[in-house]
Amino acid sequence: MSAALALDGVRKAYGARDALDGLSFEAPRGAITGLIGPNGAGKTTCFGVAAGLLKADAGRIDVLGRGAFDPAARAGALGMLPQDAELPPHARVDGLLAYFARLQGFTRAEARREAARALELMSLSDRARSRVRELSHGMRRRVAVAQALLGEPELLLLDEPTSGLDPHLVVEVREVLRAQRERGASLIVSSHVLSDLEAICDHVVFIEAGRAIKSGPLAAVTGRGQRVRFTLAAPIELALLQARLPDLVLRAQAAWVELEAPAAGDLAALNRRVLQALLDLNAGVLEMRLGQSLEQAYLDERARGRG
Amino acid sequence: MASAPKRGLRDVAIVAGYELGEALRTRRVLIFALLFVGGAVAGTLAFVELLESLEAGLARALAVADPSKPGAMTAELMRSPEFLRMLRRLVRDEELARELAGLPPLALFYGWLGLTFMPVLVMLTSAETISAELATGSIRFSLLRTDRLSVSAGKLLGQSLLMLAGVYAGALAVWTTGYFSLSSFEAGRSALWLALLSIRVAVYAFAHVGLALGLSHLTRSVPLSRALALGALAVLGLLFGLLRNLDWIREHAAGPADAVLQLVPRSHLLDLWRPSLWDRLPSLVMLFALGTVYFAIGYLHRARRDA
Repeated sequence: MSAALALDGVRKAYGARDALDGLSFEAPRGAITGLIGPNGAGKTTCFGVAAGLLKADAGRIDVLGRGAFDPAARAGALGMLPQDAELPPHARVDGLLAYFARLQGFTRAEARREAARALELMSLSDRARSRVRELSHGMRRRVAVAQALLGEPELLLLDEPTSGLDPHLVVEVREVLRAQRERGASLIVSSHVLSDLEAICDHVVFIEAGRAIKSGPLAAVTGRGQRVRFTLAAPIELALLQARLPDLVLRAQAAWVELEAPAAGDLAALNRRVLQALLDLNAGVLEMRLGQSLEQAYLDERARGRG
Repeated sequence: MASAPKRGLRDVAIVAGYELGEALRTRRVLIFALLFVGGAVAGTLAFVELLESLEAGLARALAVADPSKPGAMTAELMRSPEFLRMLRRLVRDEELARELAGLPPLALFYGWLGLTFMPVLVMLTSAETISAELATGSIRFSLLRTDRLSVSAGKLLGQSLLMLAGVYAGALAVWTTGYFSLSSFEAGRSALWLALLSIRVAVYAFAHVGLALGLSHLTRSVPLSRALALGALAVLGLLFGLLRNLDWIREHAAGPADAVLQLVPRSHLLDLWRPSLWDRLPSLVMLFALGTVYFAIGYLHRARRDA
């Protein structure tokens, strides 16, 4: 099956500045893909060209296996939360969403029902009759997410969906995104809060200066299932540990020790052996974690990229 | 699923409907429309007062009794050969002068008022239709669901319907004012002529709606789009004055000047007063075409660019 979104050598420049410099990656279907990169890396531009709002200068864009996105022919197949677009301030929330739903092909009655459903998903039913200008920043953000969910699109592009939300709402939005994946939708999500993405993503793409520097399943990128990190109260002598576990590949830095797990092997049994050896050496073990955090994986990849 | 053209027309109608609602919600257009209607009423009252004083003066000069309500003597005056001679000299056209002299005075007044002020009103209210949405990015929410032409054409239709509503609201206000303040008021005939002249005002104003929306596609800045609209109105007025009246141009380049004048809405103004539909038709068609072409130029400029 084709990817939900495939970009191949996509270029986009604003004047002399290259926003996308041959960006290539594939986001799998039925998964949540995290798009990660610093400010100005090209994430928002990537969403814009994928949705057809921005004109790419070169490269190939394939949305849901049917070429570049044509909103007239496939209205409703793609839902998007643009980062820098404001909702019209005078509009009533339910009327605005119903208008968008009508443009997706719903009848007037269906559009009203669809708007109500999307608002309920975002816990905004009580603000349906409010005008956009009367809403807080967080509520506006949730209305913007709600418009992206209208008509249950096959592909959702969400640029910073949790930006400016209270912590409990961040959790709520994460649940909504998981529910979208459960119904079979493909999602591509960007966020500066990598712990947010780590909690929901199946796949990640690191993007830097308009290029994808790494992409793959979250487990592979963070080394889950391949690596176990033991965080210690104080540094230990790696040689002492290695002497007790000569058949294992170990690394140590500062106050952590990392076990490289062999491709075939009982990870739980290996962990028990390392833990026992550490305890024998009187090392205080504070935390045990499969692989790296997404944040660490990202920072390592950036550091590697800079040589 | 609807065919592409049918779907396109449906989307144009949906955008136009929402545009009308949005105009009422923002109240800005409503305020301008009320100003126009208020201006029409105030103008009519001033016109009636002028008639009153003229008739009183005339009655004194002719040593007859003052008319109890204004208008009766004016109607007689407009049917007099002297008035016809004066009009003939003014418009340089026998048939046209006869037509104008035969019109109810208030319809004639409203025709002049609408043709003079509606272009300015339209340029003030329609200039930011597209640029404001480009500035906030809110146009992107629509462009994810339908094609650019449907959005732009929908906005053109919405603004044209608003203008039409404004023109007829003004005509109704003038009719009502005349009904209560002119003794010789021919209610049926005045209503008919106000309705007929309103169509001509609307077609003339449509050329300006097209121009305003065309210019609105050129920039993401609301103040700049307003400045462009008012600047275009001034430039077209200047162009008309120079090409029509400058002796040197009339002597040395009358042909090219007349060709360029075809592109200026005001050049078709006088023909709108012609009695025969066949005589008016070229101007009506030309004004409609001008509005469409001005709009299309702006649209084509934006269609090749980022949303």
